[in-house]
Amino acid sequence: MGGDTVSQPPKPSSALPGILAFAAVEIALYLTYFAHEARFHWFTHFYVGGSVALLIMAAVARRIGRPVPWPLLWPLLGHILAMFPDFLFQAGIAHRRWMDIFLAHLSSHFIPGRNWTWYAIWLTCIAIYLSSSNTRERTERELSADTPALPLTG
Amino acid sequence: MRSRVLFRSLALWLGLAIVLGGAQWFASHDRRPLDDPDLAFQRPGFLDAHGPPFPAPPVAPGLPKLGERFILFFVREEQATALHDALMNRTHPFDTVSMAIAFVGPKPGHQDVVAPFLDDAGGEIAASYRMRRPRDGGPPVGYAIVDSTGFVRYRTLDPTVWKRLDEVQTMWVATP
Repeated sequence: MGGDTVSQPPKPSSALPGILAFAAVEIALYLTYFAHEARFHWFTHFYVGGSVALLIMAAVARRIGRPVPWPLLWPLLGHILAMFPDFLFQAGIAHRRWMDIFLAHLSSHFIPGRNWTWYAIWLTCIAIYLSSSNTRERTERELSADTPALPLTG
Repeated sequence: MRSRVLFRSLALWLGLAIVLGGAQWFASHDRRPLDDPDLAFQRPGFLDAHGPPFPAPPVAPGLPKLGERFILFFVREEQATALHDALMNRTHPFDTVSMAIAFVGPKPGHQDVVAPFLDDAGGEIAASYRMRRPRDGGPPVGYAIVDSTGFVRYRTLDPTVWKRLDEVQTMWVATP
């Protein structure tokens, strides 16, 4: 339960397979939307799902004091959740208003500024996450700065 | 060590942001003339996306017919033959669906085989169904669906509507 054990950073060598897997899945999803001439929808759901995931990641990172493990898996799951009604649509089930429970699947398209607004929100969520990932280091730095020097006399 | 992890994390997200921003910029500029200027309104996939339903104006005697759903396609000369052929090659449910094709341009020779062709050179039909204007400012290419009570419930631009009759069918099935 020692703090040092918990705060061990993930091994750098574990990042590349995750990045490649994330890229492969997202490119496959993108090509599916591209084939249906629906790239606009892919971007919206990516940003919305990713933003929600990043906010959750920020909460977790703040709690554990370091970046979350598998940082690209969370936005991927958020994206899949946000686009879930599109799987139903491909099966012949039209969208219904209640499908907004999937991360505002319908109404998210109508935000003013459209996908550029979602892009800005997504960037903000990245900043929040990165800031939250840094809390323990910042706290340690602040604590060490506040610790008075030991008296030399004695 | 922790700073290195954070730096890698920052680099990862920054790289992703640049890639995504670039891809979106490209996609937003890679648009077709017949697309809706606002893609949120193009093929939204749910009824009444453009606002409350409104009574469908009659386009021909008995069309739309009360008690039956009705599909009204909008095409230009370039799409008329492709749509006609796609509908011809398609059986259920389009062989039983009440539909018409409002077109702009010279009358195709094979008109009225699968659905009545309606001359909409003046754009009155498109306007009365509140079809949106494509990016090139010309007549719309897409379709509208009227429910069995005579109200327009779905309308969208679709530059390649003849390739997507599955999608038209999905929306037709969803219309009461």
